[in-house]
Amino acid sequence: MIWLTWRLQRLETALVLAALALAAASLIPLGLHMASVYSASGVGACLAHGGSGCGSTVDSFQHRFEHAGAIIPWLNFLPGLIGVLFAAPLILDFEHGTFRFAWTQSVPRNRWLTVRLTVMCAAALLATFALIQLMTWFRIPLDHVSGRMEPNVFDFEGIVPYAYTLFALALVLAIGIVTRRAVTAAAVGLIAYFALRVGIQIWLRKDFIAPLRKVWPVGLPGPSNVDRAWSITSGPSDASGHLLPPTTANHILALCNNGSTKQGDLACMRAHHVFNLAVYQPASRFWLLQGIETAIFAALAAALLATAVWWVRNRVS
Amino acid sequence: MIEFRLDQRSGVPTYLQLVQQVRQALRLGILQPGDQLPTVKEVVGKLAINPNTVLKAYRELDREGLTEGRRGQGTFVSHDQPAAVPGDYSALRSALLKWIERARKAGLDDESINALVAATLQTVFFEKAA
Amino acid sequence: MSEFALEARGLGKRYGKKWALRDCTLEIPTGCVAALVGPNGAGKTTLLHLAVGLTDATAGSVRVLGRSAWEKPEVVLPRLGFVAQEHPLYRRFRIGEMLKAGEKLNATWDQALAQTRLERLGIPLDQKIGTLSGGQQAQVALTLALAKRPELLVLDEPIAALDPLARRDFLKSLMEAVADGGLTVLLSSHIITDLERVCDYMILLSASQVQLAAPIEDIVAEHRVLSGPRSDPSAVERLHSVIQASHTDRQTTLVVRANGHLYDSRWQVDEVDLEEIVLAYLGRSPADAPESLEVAS
Repeated sequence: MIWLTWRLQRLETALVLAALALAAASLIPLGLHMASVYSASGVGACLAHGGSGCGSTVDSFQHRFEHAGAIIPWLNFLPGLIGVLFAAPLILDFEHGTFRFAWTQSVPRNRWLTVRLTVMCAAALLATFALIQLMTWFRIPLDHVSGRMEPNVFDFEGIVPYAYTLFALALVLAIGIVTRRAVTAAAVGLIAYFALRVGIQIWLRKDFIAPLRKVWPVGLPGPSNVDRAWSITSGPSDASGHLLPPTTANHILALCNNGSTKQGDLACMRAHHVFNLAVYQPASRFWLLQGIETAIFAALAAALLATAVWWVRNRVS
Repeated sequence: MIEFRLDQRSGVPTYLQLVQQVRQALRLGILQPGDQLPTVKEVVGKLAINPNTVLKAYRELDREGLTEGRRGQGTFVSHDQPAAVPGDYSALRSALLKWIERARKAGLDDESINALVAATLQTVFFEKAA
Repeated sequence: MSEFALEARGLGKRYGKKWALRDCTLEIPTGCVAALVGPNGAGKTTLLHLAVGLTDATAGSVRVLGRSAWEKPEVVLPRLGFVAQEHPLYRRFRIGEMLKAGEKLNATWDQALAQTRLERLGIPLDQKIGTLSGGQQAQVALTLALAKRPELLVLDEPIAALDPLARRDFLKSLMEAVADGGLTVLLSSHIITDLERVCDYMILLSASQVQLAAPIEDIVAEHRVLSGPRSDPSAVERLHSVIQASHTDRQTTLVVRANGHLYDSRWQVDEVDLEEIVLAYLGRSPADAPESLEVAS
């Protein structure tokens, strides 16, 4: 049974490995280069000593590797792709009717279904594990500099990618078993998967728990945990933390930017009662937010898998 | 070795076609005493017919004494063939000849005689069914 | 070995509000080759799926080899060979891998039988399933079912998609397997040609109900076509079952199932072949299907 399951998903496994290899081929050289620059330029050493006065070094490092982020959004497809590919062989079994062959051999169908689902999910989780390892290693210097709270980082580290993969797999599988069309299931499933991923990332994640909100006078050091946090809103505000309307802000800026010293400009802005506002999720909440988002996607995946199993047991003959 | 063939359109039951072909082959000397008939598997593999049909034909041939089945070996043409037309039927035959003469006198041609015989046989069938 | 390879009692299956199969009662004697005949949509596939335990009954029961395949799959499935409609196989597999799948999924597996069979058919083991012709795929599917050494072989429309030559080849090799002994076959078909020579038992299914279930020899022996001057068939109906009546201005033609003798010289009595009998049954409206026909002879 395990041999059969493996043989049935051999092609899909190869495709997943190819996709991972492609990601590794583009990330590993860049990661090695970045790590050497990180230590050579002293960014690491500087940050290790409390991080004060590192501004320009860090800025130049960040500026240098900005472009490294360009391929990252594409990697968002990977958990979805892994889920789709490992769900496909089972859907094809229903599309082609070969489940009738399997169910009339001597292995009872419950065992058949258990083995198929277990192997499929295990393979998908293993592939996701590889992806997480790759991304986490690649981002070691960047995580030190800018943290891992922002989208496109948060989504690749910790535990949440496992839930994404399982959710994509379960979603495509459920659609596929009901429609018995692998291509339809993959297309509809992937669109629905990304819609939900983006929706949760944009509208829900920041409010899983109320973000921190800090207001402080311009020119003074802000709260220490605003570094490496996920910044939701930031900018000049009044004393009670209302963002200044752009026209007002520009007016004050023009007024105070009279070319003397930076200190003078800041004093001028303070005189106009300009404050800094930061609404953010601090880095310390990384695991809490990961846990909540993982729980949401894992619960959805479980519900979809249960639906698929119910359908197979009661609606398929 | 005899090779069977089937005429789907003849209306003659399949097993009877096999029986008739063996009888014919015996008459023509194609089959000699001691010859083996094809095995059931060989026949069905050639003609795509139900094995029970072949078995039925071979049983009928055994019953008529034309062949004998040897357990585990197959079916063979018997060494002592029964007479082609047993004497017992000669009385029936002469009665039939007389009847045919009467039918001719009554104005029936061969076709009509055949039709009458067939129709009467059908009626006999219904009596059997009852 | 039980007397019947398959027994259905009041078997019914409903999908939503529609009955796909209804009040099906029949027995298939062990050792026969039974044809399940009926037009498309008559419920043939439903009956076969119920028999092999792919789905459960809404009403009644069906037992194969003495047990219910739905309730006791671990007992029934190893003794059962099934080839589903369109003989589904894993398209990406080579034939050798397909055999390995069969071996892995079954406790009893005759690899030698499978290999010899395919070799005789000239189908190489390293060929991809997807590149085989329809006839070859059907043969591979049949081989997989036979390698289980089943007591009952169930085939759903095995020859429907095949050209006449492949159809004949398939039936030949099926009959060879039957000749090896110990095998009961139930095959469904909406084509009646070829079945008469292959099968010795027939179940006629139409409009979700069993119209006829009997040895083909008996069916052919009991049915006759009567033709005569135009008349009311009620006199005949008193004694015999009239399956189909058709009239012209002057003539009446009846297909009857004989139930006694008929002396009335007005009727000419002729034999009728299986195909005509089947068509006569399929031609009548479902409403006047007499219940008594289900319990044959």
